Amino acid sequence: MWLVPFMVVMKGTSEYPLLFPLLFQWLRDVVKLQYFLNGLPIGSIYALVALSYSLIYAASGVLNWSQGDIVMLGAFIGFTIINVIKLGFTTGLLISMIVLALVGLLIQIAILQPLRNRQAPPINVVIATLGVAILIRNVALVIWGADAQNSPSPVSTKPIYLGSLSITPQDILILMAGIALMVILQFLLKRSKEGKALRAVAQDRYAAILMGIDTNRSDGVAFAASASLGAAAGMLVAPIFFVTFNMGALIGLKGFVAAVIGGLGNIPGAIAGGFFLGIIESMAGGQISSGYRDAITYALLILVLWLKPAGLFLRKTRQKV
Amino acid sequence: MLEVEGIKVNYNSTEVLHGISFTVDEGKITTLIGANGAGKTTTLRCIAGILKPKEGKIMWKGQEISKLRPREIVKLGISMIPEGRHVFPQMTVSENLEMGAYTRKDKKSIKRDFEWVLELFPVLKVRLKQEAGTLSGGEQQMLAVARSLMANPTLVLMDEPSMGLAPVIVEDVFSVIQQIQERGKTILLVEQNANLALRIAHKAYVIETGNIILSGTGQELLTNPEVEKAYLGL
Repeated sequence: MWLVPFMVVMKGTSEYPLLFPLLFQWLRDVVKLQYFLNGLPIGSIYALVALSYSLIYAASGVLNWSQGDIVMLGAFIGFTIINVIKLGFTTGLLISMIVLALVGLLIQIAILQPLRNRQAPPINVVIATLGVAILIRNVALVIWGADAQNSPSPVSTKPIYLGSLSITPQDILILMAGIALMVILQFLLKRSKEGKALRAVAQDRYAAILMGIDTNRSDGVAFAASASLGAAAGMLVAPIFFVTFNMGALIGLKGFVAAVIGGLGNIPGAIAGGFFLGIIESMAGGQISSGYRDAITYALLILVLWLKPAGLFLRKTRQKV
Repeated sequence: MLEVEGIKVNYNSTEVLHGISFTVDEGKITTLIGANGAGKTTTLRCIAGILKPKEGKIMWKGQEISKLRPREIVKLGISMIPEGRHVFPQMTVSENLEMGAYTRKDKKSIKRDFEWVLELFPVLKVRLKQEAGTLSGGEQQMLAVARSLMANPTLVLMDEPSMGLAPVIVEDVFSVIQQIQERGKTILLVEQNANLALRIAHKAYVIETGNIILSGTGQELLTNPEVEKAYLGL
């Protein structure tokens, strides 16, 4: 039953060579199934971060290294709204997403657009995003200090038992919120005028310009949407991990690995990559040793870049003359 | 209607157009022919606003447009079909057409043009929900033409519409170009396939390494011995 919403999200990827049936095959005993289940909530967070990388990469060809620190900033802003101003979790989430959307827009307008307009080489743009990351991290250090903050969970962390499987309401909330955001994103990309323009720019920038699409505007939309997704990821990850000023490095890197697994710039691929990574980590942590969890993630990154640089979920290219 | 006056263009500090002048008449087909690298595409890109000439003027209905952005030029009624079709491969045919009308606001007239292009290209009608990347080359070229018409242009710039298509399909494409002209659009056609282009053109210019070296009606150039030798391969 719990697989149903998961499969809905995966629907878009059904035409890719599926890794998931293989995984299901492997899940014969309950212990493995439990680890699989544990991987889903963190997987949905990775998927959100991966989406935030891929969205910008697809739309404007920029690899934005400040994505992890945007996640951190989103967590801090939401945390402050909930604990200091005493608003609810949902309000905190929404405000944090809106604030970060503006931050994303600001990064695009103030830093990337001028670089692009003077046709700076891609490496300069990448370094500029790295600068943004360091700036955000240190601003957070000044405002919130170096101490880790513990964000209270909006719902119970007491597990619910389904037979011999268990899951916490918090995990369910994270998973559901993550999936809801992905569905909303897909809907906006497919149906809204801005979303369609964004896809057009991602698929063929030259043709999009000829159609009269303003690429500065679509880049702005991509940065805003992407930072907003990052903020949501930060809010959702906050109850699991401590919120610290330097949490962005790890979550950003994990999200990046997930995006690479799915093929950088591939939107359904980023979702699949996020869940894939979350599940693999949980499984590896349980079956091998949790000490190796991060090592396995980066080994996976190296393997994917080495063997399948376009991602595991490469879309079949159909081209006719 | 469109007057290009002595435009010079640099690509990475190399001058590729050395002062090109020509005019496009309303409701007619004008063609620029010439070899690969002569500067045909560069000329079209200048008119579409993708490139900015460093000297010279481009006048559209009496207005100087060479400093405008592509978006503003589309709004003024000039729409370009790029070389190699450039359809949005993972968008449906219908979404591609929708993108063509991106700068327009009036839903009713967009709807009317949508019906009109589908009537003009019945092949697209049955494929509306199909991704453009799955179409054949000829169908993609038709889609590229249809998409540009969705901007409701007065002038259509066509960059090598015969590129990479089978000869039979090329014939289809050229008959479509004529149909569009008969329905009141002005066309500026850039082609390497000089023979076909000259046959349908009312006016033609030969461009060679960034200069216009010959001009005349399509018929005149078709029978011009120099053109025959250099471009028609007879």
